[in-house]
Amino acid sequence: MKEEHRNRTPSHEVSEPGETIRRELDRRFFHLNTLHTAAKELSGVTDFRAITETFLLMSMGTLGVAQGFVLLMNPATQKSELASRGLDANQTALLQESVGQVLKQCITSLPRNEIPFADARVISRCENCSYCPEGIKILVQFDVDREHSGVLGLGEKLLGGDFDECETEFLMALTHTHIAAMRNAAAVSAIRMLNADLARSNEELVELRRREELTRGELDKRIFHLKTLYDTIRELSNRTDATAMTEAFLLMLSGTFGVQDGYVLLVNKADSTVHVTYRFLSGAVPRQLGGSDIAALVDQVVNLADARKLPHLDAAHVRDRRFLTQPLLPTAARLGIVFRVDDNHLGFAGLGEKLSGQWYSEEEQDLLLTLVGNFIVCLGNALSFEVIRNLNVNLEKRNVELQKTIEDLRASRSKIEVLERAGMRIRSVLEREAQRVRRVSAMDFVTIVALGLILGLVFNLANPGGVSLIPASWSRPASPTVTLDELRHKFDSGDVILVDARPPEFFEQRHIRNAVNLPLSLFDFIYMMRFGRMDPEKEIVVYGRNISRHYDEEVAYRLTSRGHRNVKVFPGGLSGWEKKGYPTGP
Amino acid sequence: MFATARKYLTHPYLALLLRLYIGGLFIYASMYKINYAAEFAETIASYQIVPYWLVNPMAVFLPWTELVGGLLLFSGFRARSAAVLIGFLLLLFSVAVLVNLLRDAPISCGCFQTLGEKMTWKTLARDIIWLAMVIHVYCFDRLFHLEERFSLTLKEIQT
Repeated sequence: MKEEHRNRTPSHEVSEPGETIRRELDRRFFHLNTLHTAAKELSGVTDFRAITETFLLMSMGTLGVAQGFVLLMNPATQKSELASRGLDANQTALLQESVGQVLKQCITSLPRNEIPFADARVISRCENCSYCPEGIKILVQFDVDREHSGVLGLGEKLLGGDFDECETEFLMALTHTHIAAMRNAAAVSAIRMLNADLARSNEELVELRRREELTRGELDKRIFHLKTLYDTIRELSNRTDATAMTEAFLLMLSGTFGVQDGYVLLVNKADSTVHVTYRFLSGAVPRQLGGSDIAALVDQVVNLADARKLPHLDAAHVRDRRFLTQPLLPTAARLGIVFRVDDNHLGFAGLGEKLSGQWYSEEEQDLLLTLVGNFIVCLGNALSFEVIRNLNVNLEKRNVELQKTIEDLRASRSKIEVLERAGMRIRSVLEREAQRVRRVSAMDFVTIVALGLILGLVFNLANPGGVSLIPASWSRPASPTVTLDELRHKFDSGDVILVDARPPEFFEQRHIRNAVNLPLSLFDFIYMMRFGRMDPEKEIVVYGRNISRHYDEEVAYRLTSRGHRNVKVFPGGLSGWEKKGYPTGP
Repeated sequence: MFATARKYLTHPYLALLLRLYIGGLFIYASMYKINYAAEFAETIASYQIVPYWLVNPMAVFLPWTELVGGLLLFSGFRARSAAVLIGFLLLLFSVAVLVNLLRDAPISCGCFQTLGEKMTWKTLARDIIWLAMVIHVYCFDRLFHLEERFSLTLKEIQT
């Protein structure tokens, strides 16, 4: 291309109009051809450096320039890249050091947003440029995008002279081609970067998908485990019988882990008993245990739990082969779990080999531990429910007994009330009786007197020596009486015998003078002695009576009975005699 | 001193002894009078207080009343009423004795038998002492009553 340009240059000197037009056309053709070549060569280049070098060489070669440079700059970071031809080291260093001034004078002189993209302009002929190397005749500033701007500097043409308008137009067109190439390169670079990012993203996506698959597998396992736990809880929570719950739990373990043989021992420490639940698909026969074996098994399970310091409602794995294969257990197990419900209720679950022949994974062992934990909780609830049920039964019995007791108490209360009323009645009667006992009543006197009267009358009637209750004088005719004066007359005449009928003591005390004492108590004796031979016609006057006794009447009656026909009574007695002062005597 | 004397003088056991003594005395005194009613009637008549038509009925009735009263007093059944009755009889006897002592009646007491001791002021004093004993019994006697079983039963019920 340089050769073609050199070959056409001599014809320019022909100063003929046709030749001039032809030369001008040739030069324009040459320029267009150069632009075409540049566009073709730059279209496949993606490296900014190579594009810049090609752009610089084509500019210099087409225009016949010996010196030139292209300075690419990033206005934001002020990084620069320099491509030069025909410049010495000092000029190159000066250019690199003058990036700031280039930016200030050429690029930042206009606001960036006022600079149209893909634009270029001739900003200097470089007569007074302070930072351009010496010899640079023209500067073209161009902007590729916001991050890439640049300056193209070309020295003097080899043929001399200034750059004419055609050359300037060519230079601008080439610059535009360069800008387009730069942009293409940037686009390609961006596309490559995007491809790289896409490839990396694809790789990450593949990795993510692989991880997703793994996670999904884990999630499936977790879901399976959670579903198993859910089923276990749902299955066990509906049961309240410990034995049925254990059987259901063992069936679930067998299905979940796919094991042939499995068993669960429920140990009651207080009763020293063991309840065995087993499920043997392999046809194994469980070992039969005697009384001492059961006690030893209870001790071993208790020691196993104590050695692991198991709290209530907790479980732990048992991987000791010696324990798992010991003869006291129903069969040899590959994996065991000991658990404690409370102080008295413990247990041991043993699982044999899996149907797949694989060993239990960590997740399965954790699942088994979790399942056993749920089983313990449900078992504890079942035991508590059983205790509550027993308590309810006892409570119902006690309620019945209490009801009966209340009824008995009610009956007893009514009975007590009746007894209390009776007691109060008896008490009042007794108190009244006691008061009556202490009180002196008229009825007592009446009773005593009446009793004495009746007894006296009855006894007197029955007694031969009884006395007459009616005075005898009332049933006899009254004896004739004498008055005081008559008696005095007779006393004085001495024709009468005076008889004192009173008791001797009274007679001896005082009596009418010359009277004869004839008391009733000594009547027969005295009568015989003194009156036996007396004339029956002799007048006898008897005196002696008081309020209590009419002795005179009685003696007169007796004398009359003895035949004396002239017996009279002096009722006045000694007192009447004495009142008159008549003689008396001791 | 005074309290001690009062304590012993009002002791229930003393009242019990006096009660038994007076009760036995009246039982004993009634025996002869019951058997010899005619003689007792003469004794009553000798006092010259009772109307003649009442002497024999009283001779029949009074000994049995003494016997019943003595038995009740001795047994402790209606003892207070018996004490009052016997006290009344003793008061009656004392008045009768006093009257006849004032009359200077030459009669015997007739308290236990017809041919007894001569009535003197000692007889009146003895009757008054017996009357005092009966009053003591009335006031302080509360032991060994047949009716006490009611009181005991009441105490048992109260406890």
